[in-house]
Amino acid sequence: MKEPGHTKQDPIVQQLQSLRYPGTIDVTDAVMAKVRTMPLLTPYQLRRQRFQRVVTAVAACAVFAVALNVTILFTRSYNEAQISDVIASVYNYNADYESTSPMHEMAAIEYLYD
Amino acid sequence: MNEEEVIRDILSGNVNRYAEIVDAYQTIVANLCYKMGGLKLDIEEMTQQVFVELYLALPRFQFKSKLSTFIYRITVNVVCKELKHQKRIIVPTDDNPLPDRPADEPNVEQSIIRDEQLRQLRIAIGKLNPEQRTALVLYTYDNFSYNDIAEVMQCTTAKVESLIFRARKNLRKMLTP
Repeated sequence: MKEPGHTKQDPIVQQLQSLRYPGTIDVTDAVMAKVRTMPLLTPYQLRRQRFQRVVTAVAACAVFAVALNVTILFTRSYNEAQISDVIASVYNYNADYESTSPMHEMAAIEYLYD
Repeated sequence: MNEEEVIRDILSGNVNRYAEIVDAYQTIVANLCYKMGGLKLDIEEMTQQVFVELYLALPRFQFKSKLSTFIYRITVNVVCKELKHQKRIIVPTDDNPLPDRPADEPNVEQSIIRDEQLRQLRIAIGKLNPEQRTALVLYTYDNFSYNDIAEVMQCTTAKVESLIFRARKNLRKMLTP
């Protein structure tokens, strides 16, 4: 890894270093007024919040997995149905061809020799 | 200020001591918001929001890292969230005048040029993607190493190095006429 100090000589980095908020900032009173009305979480509440997050995450994963599975199953059964339709139509075509083919041949011969 | 002691005090109910933390870090937070936020972000509002978020997050602070790192992380998250929320396109506006200069400044022309360069730089920074912008802005803090940035951004140092490299390359491309 390169030495950080080396690339800090870059003019862009130096320009950025000199960038400062031009005004003065004093938000202490405003922040304190807000936070005084906010209760902090106790360690028990914090643990409970973490537990709830884990449960929510696990539930979301489970729902996603089920949804994915259902989608895959549906797509697969749909595809299988499509494939069997195609196969069936090919077989029907062949059956038609075989049954009508001799007749066509005879019709053609008759036509030629008439 | 012994930060650990102050935080334990706050957590045990002495909320007034939180003012010490706000006093100590508000300039740093404002500067970070200013560097990251492009032109239109309300810095005072952002700084307040960061400290409110920090207060709510204090029970999660485990004293394993420095408080400053924790504050930087919260600042970065709040600013990125706000920028994402605004979905802004950063354009220079007259709402953000250049900083005031003293009337007796020796070389006014040079100063105007410099201000304009900084303004262009802020516009260009606003056009970087959030990760590159965050890494580069944190990198400009003198005492920040790749490891510190990686800790704030919660990624590897290799990624930080790559983000900074790409950010500088993109900025150079944008700023070169």
